Amino acid sequence: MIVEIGHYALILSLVIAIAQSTIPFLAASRRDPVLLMIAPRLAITCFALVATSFVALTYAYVTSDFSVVNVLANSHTSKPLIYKITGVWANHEGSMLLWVMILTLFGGAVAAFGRNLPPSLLARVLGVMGLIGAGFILFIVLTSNPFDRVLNPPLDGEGMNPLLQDPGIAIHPPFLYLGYVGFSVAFAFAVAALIEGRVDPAWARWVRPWTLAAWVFLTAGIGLGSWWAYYELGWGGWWFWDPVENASFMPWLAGTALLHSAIVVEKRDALKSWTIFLAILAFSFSLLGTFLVRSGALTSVHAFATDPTRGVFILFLLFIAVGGSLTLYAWRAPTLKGGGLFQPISREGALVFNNVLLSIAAAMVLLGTLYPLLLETVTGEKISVGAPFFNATFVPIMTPLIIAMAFGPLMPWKRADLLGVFNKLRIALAATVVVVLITLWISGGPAFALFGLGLATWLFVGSILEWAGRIKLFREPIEVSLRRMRNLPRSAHGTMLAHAGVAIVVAGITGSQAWTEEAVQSLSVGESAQIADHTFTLSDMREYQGPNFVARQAEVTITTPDERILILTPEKRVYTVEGMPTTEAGIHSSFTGDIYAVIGDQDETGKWITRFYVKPMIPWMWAGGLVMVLGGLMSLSDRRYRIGAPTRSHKSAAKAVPAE
Amino acid sequence: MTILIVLGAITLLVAGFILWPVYQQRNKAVSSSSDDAPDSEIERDLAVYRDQLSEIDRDIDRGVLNVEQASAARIEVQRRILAADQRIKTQTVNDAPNAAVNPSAPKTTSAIAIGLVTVFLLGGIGLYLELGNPGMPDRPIASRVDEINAIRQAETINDDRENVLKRAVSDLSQKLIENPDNLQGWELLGASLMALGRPEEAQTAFLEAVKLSNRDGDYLAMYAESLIRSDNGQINAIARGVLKEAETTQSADPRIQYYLGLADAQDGNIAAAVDRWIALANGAPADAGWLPMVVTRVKDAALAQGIDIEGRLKVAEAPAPMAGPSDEDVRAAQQMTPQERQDMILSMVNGLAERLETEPNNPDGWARLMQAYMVLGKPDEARAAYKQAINVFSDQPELVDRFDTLAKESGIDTN
Repeated sequence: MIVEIGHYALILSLVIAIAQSTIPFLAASRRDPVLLMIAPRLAITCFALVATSFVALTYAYVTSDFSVVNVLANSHTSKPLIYKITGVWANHEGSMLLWVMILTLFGGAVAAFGRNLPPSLLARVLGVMGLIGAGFILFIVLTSNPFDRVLNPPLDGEGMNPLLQDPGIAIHPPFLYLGYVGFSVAFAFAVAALIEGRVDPAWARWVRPWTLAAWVFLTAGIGLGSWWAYYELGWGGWWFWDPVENASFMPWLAGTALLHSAIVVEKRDALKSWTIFLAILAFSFSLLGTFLVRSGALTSVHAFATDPTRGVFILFLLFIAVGGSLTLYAWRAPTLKGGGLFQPISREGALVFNNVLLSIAAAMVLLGTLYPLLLETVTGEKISVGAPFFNATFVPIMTPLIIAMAFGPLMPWKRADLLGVFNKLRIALAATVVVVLITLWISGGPAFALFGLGLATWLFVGSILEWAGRIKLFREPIEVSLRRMRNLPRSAHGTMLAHAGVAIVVAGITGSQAWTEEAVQSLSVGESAQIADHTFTLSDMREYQGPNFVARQAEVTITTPDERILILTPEKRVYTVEGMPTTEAGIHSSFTGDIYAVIGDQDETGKWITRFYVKPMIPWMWAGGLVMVLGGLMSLSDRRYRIGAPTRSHKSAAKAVPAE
Repeated sequence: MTILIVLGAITLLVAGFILWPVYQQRNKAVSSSSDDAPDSEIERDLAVYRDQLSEIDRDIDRGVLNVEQASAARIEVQRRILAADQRIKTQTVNDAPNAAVNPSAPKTTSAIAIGLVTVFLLGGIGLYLELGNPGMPDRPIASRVDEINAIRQAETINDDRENVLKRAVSDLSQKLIENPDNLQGWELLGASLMALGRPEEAQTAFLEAVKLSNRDGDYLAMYAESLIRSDNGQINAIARGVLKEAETTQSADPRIQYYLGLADAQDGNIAAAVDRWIALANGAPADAGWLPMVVTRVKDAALAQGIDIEGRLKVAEAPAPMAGPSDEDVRAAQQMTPQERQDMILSMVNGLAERLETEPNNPDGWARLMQAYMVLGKPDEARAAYKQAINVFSDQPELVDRFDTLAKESGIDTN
């Protein structure tokens, strides 16, 4: 019965979403108080219903109810409980349901926390979210219903892709979706503002926290995804410029730009039209990602089973959402009045610079992702656009961006004195020179490593300097600095952390690209290999039985240059139900880098094929991502975004007067 | 039924939650909520600007702004406050004519709201009844222990059967070493080995039987089958020779013609195969267990090769095999009380008797009926069945003999 309740709730959520995409617009145009009160209730109901159906599907997975086709095709009784739960979204139908649940969650959250918004703006925002929701729930019900049943269910399911039976990948999709779908709020605000015909600083303040939340989740999601690729795929790579990775990177770039341009709208009442455009763009990129993954337009680890009707349906939704909003933009944006003027050299100018570069970067990724697809469609020729293209385009775009990132936060609004700002950054420049010289002395190159580490140092020290300047570190007694630090708005800490995080990521990428050493060899038990002054010895080989797999585990003993002994246990597993092998790399992480070992099959002579890597600085990349996420969360917790509490009491007081 | 109540409750809950403001509005006297909208709007905007002003003060504290810059910033914020105020005032003026219409609005909008929500919910119910399976229960694996046990049991039975066969094979082998002239022993050994899926070993046993029986057709057929099975269904030259030899004997074993037909088919001569199989089917007793299989083969081959067999098959439709108890019946029987089980067997026996009244040409059916009556402790009925069977097949002495033997074995009074 629970399964059927879930199915009913899903269908009911469809009609409520349709109601949510009509009634609020009616309410806003009639300025009708009753209908305006109904609008948020529709959004909350819609979330409650989708959540109910999600819980019902999860229940079917946990209890292994194979009368549900989706469970039958993607689960198995021998799976550990955690993967029965994560299996809910490790397939097309279930992950669509998660996608929609998060969408309606954001809609419900806007409805619940948006009481301070002008009611007509709130209603229109919810209306736009209702439209998106209705489109996707219809997609689920018509083409990908997870509640289809079979009459005579077999006694066991067909299992789940073992690559996805991993804790890292289990939480990667929810984070990624929270990010993707989070941009729908900014999108809805943008479209609603276009309909209302007004964008003011208050609007930007309402949009910022939602965009920031989406950005935090997307950053975490991308980080988790690349971490998973690094340790689970067993090739030591962490980013492949796979079209689906690009599909998550494009909204991230656009979202980062949006985050910064919204500051300008909020503080300076400028860049309104551009900010609206970015909000539309960020969510359009998210939809494009959804389309690429689910249409079968491309093949990758991520692509779900292909079904042409699904592709056509999503293409249609994409066309409506992107085409419709851009048409609306073209029509209404010219009516938006621009505000404060500013000089090119100013905080605004720096943010515009940031926006331009981020947009070019997003456009490059878009080109590199779609060009092969277009070329194949038009001429049938298959080309692959990979790392060389992106390296060649990204380095020249990112270099000025990173240099400018240190300047931006130090510049005042309206007009700035570039020389004065540069003076404040003398220490950063000095630190950069020192780090480059030390690197040259220790490693002797290569040139791009010196360059990358220089950039990272410049940005890292620059970000800290700005923050230190604000709390007058070392210029006032330490107690004063501490007091100033506590009084500093949290968003200022957030800026520092996020920018420093980028610096750490850049350092991690540079170091691992420049100095990774690897070797592939066949070893018998007891034999050793020498990589980057580390001795890798294959000391043992054993087999064991896991809950739903059999594994061959190697014991690799490593002697580091400073005579420490480490033991890694890389595995090769075969999942019995699915008959699929996976590699579990053995990784030892430390501040200086990773030691990474993978075990393969036996060669003809009975020796084991092994791959060993020494990857300096690579953990910095994920540490940097984590620091960026922390910065975003810090900014998000800034109480200045929680405006309206005094307004609220004012309003109810004002209401009470005529009643008496 | 419960499910419908639950779904109904969900629907009402949803409708109630969404339409709550309508109900509230009715209870309240005409409120003036539309008037205070502009007020609260300016309040909201002012909150933001007030926040910005206080931030300017903080910036002065931190030294990010000097006094001059700060006053410029303050002037700008104040300018925005004025602009917002101006905009909202004009808006209020523009809205004034609308406000005049408003008093009648609550009633209309209530109707609109209730109407729309009802239509949408009804649509949802309709769509669910179209797509859903409200009557279908959950089938969590924990509730399906019975099914799992049944499969386990079937596996056990299979294992038991295999064990019995294996024991039979070893016993027989032992006996045949001592007494190699036992024709039936060889036959049994071969059949057991075939049942165990060991046709290569069965070959030797059947070859012994062929020799001992002076190359009897039936044994030649068994031998040929074991050869064919050893070769994955291919009819090789040896098997072909054995079949040809068997064809010349008196044996009516259907396997001979069937496999000869198959040999034709494997040579690519489908027409010849079809001819052979049609002859085989037409000459078969109506109740032969293998008949439906042969008929299907004929039809498939004819269809695939475009051979017209219209009217040639005397058995028009594959006769339905005499219904024994289905698996479900057997499973149900295991869960019954002895009385219920007795009743069920009785009803099945009665069914068999009725069928034999209308289609008496079924010697196996009569034999089963006679035995069933004896098992049920009804010797009179058993005797009646015996007499009827003898009547029906009075022109076939070998069947009469068979019934006599059976009657004697199961203790039926034949007088």
